Amino acid sequence: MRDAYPREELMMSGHLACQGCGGASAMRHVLKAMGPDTIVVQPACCWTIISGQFPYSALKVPILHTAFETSGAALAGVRAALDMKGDTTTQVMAFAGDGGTFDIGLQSLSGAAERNEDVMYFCYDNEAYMNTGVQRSGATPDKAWTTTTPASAPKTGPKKNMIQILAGHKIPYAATANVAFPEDLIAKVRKARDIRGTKFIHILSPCPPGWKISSEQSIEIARLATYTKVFPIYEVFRGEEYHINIEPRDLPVFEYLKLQGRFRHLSQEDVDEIQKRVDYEWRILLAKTMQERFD
Amino acid sequence: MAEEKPIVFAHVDDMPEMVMSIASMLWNKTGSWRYLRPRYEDRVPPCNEACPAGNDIEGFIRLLGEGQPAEAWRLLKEENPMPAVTGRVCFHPCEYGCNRVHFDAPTSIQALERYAADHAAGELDWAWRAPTGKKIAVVGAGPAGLAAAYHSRRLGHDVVVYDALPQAGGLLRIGIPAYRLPRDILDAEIAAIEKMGVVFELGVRVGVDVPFAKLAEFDAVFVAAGVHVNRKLGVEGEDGPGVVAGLGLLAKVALGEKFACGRDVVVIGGGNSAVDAARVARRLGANVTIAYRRTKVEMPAFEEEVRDAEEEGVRLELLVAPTRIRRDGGAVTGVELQRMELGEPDESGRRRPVPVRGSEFDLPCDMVVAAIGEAADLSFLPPEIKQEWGKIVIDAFGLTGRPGVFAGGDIADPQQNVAQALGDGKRAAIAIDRFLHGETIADIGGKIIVGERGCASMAQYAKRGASHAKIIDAQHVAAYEELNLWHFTRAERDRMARAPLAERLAGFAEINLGLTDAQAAHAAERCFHCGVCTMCDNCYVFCPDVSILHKTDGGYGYNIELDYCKGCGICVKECPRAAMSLGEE
Amino acid sequence: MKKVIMGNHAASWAVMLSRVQVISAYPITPQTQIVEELSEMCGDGRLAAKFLKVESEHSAMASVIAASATGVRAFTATSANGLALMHELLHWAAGARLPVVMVNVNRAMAPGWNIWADQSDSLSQRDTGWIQIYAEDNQEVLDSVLMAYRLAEIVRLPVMVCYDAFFLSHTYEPVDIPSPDMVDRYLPPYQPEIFLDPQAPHSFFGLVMPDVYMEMRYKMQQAMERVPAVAAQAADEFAAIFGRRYDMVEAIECDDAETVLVTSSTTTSPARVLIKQLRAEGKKIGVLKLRFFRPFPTDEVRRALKGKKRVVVVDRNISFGKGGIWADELRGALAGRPGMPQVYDFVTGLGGRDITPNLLAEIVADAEARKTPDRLLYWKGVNQ
Repeated sequence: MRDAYPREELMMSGHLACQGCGGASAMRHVLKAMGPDTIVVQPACCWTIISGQFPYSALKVPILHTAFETSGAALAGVRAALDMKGDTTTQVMAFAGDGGTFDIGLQSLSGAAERNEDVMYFCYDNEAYMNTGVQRSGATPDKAWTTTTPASAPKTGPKKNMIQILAGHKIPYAATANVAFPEDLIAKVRKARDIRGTKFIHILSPCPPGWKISSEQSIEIARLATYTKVFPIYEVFRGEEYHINIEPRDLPVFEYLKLQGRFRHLSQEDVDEIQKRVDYEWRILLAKTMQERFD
Repeated sequence: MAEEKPIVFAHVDDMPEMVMSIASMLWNKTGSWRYLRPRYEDRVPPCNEACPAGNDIEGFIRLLGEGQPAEAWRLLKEENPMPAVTGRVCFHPCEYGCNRVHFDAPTSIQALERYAADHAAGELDWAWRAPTGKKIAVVGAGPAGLAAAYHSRRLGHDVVVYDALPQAGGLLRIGIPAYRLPRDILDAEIAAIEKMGVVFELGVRVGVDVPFAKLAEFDAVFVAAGVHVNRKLGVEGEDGPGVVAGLGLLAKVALGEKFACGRDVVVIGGGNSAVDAARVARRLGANVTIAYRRTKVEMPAFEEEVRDAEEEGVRLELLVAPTRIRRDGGAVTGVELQRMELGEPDESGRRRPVPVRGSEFDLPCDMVVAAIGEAADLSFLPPEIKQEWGKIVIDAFGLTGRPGVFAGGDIADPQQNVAQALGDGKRAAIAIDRFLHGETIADIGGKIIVGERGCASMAQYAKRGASHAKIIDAQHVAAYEELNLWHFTRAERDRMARAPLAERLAGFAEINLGLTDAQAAHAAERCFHCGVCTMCDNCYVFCPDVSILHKTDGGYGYNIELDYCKGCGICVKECPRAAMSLGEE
Repeated sequence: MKKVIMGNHAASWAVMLSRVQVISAYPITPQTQIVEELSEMCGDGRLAAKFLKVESEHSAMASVIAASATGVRAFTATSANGLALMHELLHWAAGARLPVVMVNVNRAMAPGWNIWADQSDSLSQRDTGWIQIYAEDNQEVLDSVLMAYRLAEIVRLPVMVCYDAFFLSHTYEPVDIPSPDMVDRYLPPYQPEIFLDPQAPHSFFGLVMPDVYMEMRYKMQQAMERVPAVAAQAADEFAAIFGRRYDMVEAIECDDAETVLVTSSTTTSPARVLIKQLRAEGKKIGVLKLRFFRPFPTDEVRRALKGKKRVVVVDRNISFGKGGIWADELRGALAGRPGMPQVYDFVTGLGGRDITPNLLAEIVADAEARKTPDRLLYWKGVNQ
């Protein structure tokens, strides 16, 4: 038995996620760790649909659906109102996709982070605008296929490093997590809840239709992303103190790429290039874990 | 919010003033989306299939892992009357079948079996069948006979066991030395069987003291007299003092009879008897050489035995065969050996040793031990009992040509080892039980064996005593390729303490000292539990649709909410141990 | 107490007296003094509120929506391009049926950058579902904000209180600032039944399918249709406590008028001066001040203008391809009704250009010289 995994369900069946959706898993784990005294801010993303249509909801906590770019601002508004009502225990969290975090939502997230609003921000990252049909976003990895970066002209350029951006804001806590490692995610949520200020957790959440994988491989592929160092799992305190939480394995990125149709068009040179980049970023991350701290 | 139907608003004034939810999505039965569905499907762990005695290995290790050694012992006793014995002397084919062997190293099954048996506690519930009033005669109190007696007694029958030796145990008593199998351990296992009401007639040889025909008074007979007739070397000088049978040497020492050992002993043979005889001779003070006609790797004896023998100072003379035993005034002075080289393989697949012309040499000694194998004495049997190749002919469940007469163990089974004998005894007990109830074994035989090729399972036959009250009905054995290895981490096998080398030759005290509690806990954790759900919760945790839930009554296992399961298959994929399957509705 | 304050500070006082709990704003000329004064009021404890200094107007409206949905009284203020940036969320606040109140200082839309008075910014937000009120002087600014919360919290639609850049925002006038006790009698604490509450969880403002969306919009229109009755009630209660009366329109000397000048915001003030003059000369002329743009005071306008000969609308705004927006709305209200006057639409004063009594006199004379309005709109002040 996985004793650390909380039993109370705050997400119910009947939701509209695709088979094998990483975002559904992510929400389930996050809510278990957040507990029932939570308000969810939900910008436009897959979860807008997954939570169900009017007049239904698939969650047992309140949801404030909000416009696409407004997560950071809405979080601040709810938090301010709760504080004015004298409620300092109810937690406020955003559950945003990569589009609403990396691209259109970046401004309001940056504003909230700069003001160090006392809120939790979860980005469940399926690496494209999946809800609208798999268009590329700032989170789409280099060389991936999407409908706006077809195989004839795949996405070029690296995935934005949101942790680096938020570390630059010096928020008290920023971390990556992965639906394949639920206990790590839950431990991080619990830890973050006790921290005052802006907390950001970036969760890798595979999308079977968008990544062109079979639904049962969803967790396996997420796991491989971390084990091949493509998506390292680490946390940063105050933008300065780095800890790696999950040791990768000695596996080449090809083991991860080969399972996904969105990378089917890659040549050997492409794979080698990706491997070089992944190795480089890993060395940089290791160096960060050893960098000097302010205090 | 457990509405099961979608909401329909009759009038605009019935609707909420703003866009907000008033019910859950539970009305939306997403189970209609799927075209494949998951199932919990326990499969046979390969160790269970590999065990010739039919132990529920995965089950007993699970109980050890739950901190219940006495329960683990009880589970072993459901299938095997003497886990304290097999936990010491079995050649553990289960460990070769263990899937973990492909990952890092097999689970320490034998050491764990011994640990469980050494922590036996409490009474056994063996009288779960009403007495049938039927009587069974067992010829031979070795492992096959003891197993047949034990299981028959549990099935409600009266049993009488005949054995020519003054003490029960067969080769366990006279063939395996005490430093491998302590006497008190063996005695305790046999005493437990006697306590069940099995009657032992010891020192009684069937065919001599009791005619075989007298056994017709019984409702059924199980012949398991073993192989005790020593094979002769077939060389000049063999007859006379100073040349002893390997088994003879072992038996005398085991039964406490006087035995004058030579000072320089040559043991001919490469099997367990040869190695045991060599090591016993060492303890009696002799310098010992084993002479074997093939190479070390081909010696039939257990690897650990050979290694221990060498550590104890036994010399190995390999690729040699005796041509003549030298005597001087009647006493043995040496053995002439001829060198061999390996030629073409024989029918066993091993390369046939071929004599090298002119390579004879003399090995001085004052005693030669002939340990090249034993044969059965079948003279006491009536002619209707078919014989072939020096053994009784039996089918898979021990039936001979004559109704009511069954056989097993070394006297009938070419696979001569303790676990196989135990399995033979159990199979025969089951077949006898069927026979005594006027049924045949043929119609159920296939259903009660473990996996496709394993031993029979008493749990399957009697529908009792399985681990977690769950009997695995399957034939499908969980293969290594079916496991999800990401959920396991590498861990070294635990090494049990052994008596220091210097102390071993001082006497016959047990050499292997057993696992500590901490080691046993760790060793039990290494088991993958292939094919059997251990409630690791992976399926429950990884399901994105909250469609796998713990049973509300606290029962073992999970419920799949088929109303909502979308058939994504993640649960099956993330099951570490292939205890689920994904198939059509 | 009476104080001589600028229009922006009148707004600040009203927000403080309304016991707003969450303020979120982004600076833009000429709104800045509203929020600066509110910062002081929060800082020295006169106002117990959280002030979110967000990074754009879009975020200001988003956070105000979120705060209001959590069940507290919320406020923001902006102008021109800031209001335009909020456009998506103006729809959201109204569709969410949240009683948010916003002050919009009417300023010209860029390009080019022009910080002076122009009504196009708020009037072009006509269809977002907000109630819109236009104030003539600083007293009306303060009073309108108080009444806005009362109105919003009853009909559950957001309210925008608009007034002219610099003419009111930065101009000092004497204002009677009511006491907190008086305001508390008029404006009870905001205690909604439904809000973001983990004890009673709902999902708000999510996915709506075609078979129910129209009904939600129907309910918004129904709420708008309740406004005249609620506004009248709110005006009665306000007059009873504060001694000042504000209706959806104000008709000044219209009863026997042949010509009626239709004005809004500060344009009403020079119009009052002009008709005093013209009446003294024997002209039958009146002024119809329009306070509410949305809901459009259709009944009041029809009542006031029936039987008049001509209506001259002064529009400090324009809807390109049609004409002045007040005139366009008014024409729609009067269309097809018997005995309704001709409507002359004058677009003038854009980008802060002054509207004086003399300018209005020229406009009236121009209109009276034409038998019929031969054009949809007439420009006043452009050398054509």
